Amino acid sequence: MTAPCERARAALPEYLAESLGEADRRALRDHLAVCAACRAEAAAADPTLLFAFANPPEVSSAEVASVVESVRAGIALRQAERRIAPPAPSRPSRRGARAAAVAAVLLLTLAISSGPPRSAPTAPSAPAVKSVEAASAAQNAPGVSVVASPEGAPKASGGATVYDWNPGAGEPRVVWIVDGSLDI
Amino acid sequence: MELVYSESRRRQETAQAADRELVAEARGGDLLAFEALVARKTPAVLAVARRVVGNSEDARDVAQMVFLRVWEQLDRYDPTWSFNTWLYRIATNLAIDFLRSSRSRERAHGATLHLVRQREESTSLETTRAAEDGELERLFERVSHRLSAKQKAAFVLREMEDRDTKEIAEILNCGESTVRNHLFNARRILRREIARLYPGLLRSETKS
Repeated sequence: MTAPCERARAALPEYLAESLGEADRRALRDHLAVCAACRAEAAAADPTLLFAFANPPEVSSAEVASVVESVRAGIALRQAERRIAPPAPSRPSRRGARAAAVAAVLLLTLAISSGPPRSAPTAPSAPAVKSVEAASAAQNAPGVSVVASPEGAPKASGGATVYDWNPGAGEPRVVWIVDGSLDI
Repeated sequence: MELVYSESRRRQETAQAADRELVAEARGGDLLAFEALVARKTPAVLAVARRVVGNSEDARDVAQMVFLRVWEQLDRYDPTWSFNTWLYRIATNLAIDFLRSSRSRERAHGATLHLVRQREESTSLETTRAAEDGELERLFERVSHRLSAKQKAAFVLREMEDRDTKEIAEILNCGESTVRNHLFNARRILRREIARLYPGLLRSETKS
């Protein structure tokens, strides 16, 4: 028995216990790969070592080509699915509608605070209708006609402006309170 | 002991540079570069998948899923990581999922038939031939049936693919001590199954 064989056989228990350093482990495997006598000795010590020297299964070029082809087809299919995917739902989410309403209110607030002329503490009714239109567009509710109700005129209350919109015909009444002092 | 690094390891390191270039091009949307990468990596992915799931046909399905997932997640790949480790991680996890689902199907439909087949095959297998390469793969498939999917994957990566425990821990997303635990239990179960299914193999080995 040669010196490398002796070292290899002495290292087997540590190899099986996973306590051999990576470099020594690799050196042992390299030795076992070329030394049939030590390989037989190792398999006798522990038959699970037989699997350490099983060559990887052969993969033919036809198999590789088949995988490449199926992957190419899979990618093409997914790309096509993305292209023909139905557009996002036309009805925006509740959060989107809320954000649009807040934006409309902010716009309105700016218009009220900077827009000339400011003749009265109460805002004119037109902005109220505009804001209602913006909210209605945001909610995209079909069949709802935007008509300012007789009560559509805004009322000032302290630092806030109250907009009251009642479309009638069984539709819910909407009341907005725009507080210019709030920093959103 | 002589500190000799194996030739296959050196080849792997050289090949990694070429992988990096292809990955960079594929990340830029170059489908041809990606296909070249698939062609380069298919043998390695098929080898792991075949050893974990146990047959070539299922391994091809797994390989296809692996590369489709790689394509979809390329933009999430961190190039500071080894591409091979990332690829092995996807491949091993998909193979484990596949093995688990096929085992549960087997339990539901064909457990009895499988056991009958296993016994017939074990009696007809000549133990001397079992030591041959092709037979070793089949022998492994028969005796590894009692391993959990993670134990099997850890054993395949460590003993058959010669990966170090740190990399296996990254692939399996667990600690190195867990990997060592999986390996310890896998060896124990494999020894028991070899003794149960192939007592002749044990006798012939202990004689030599």
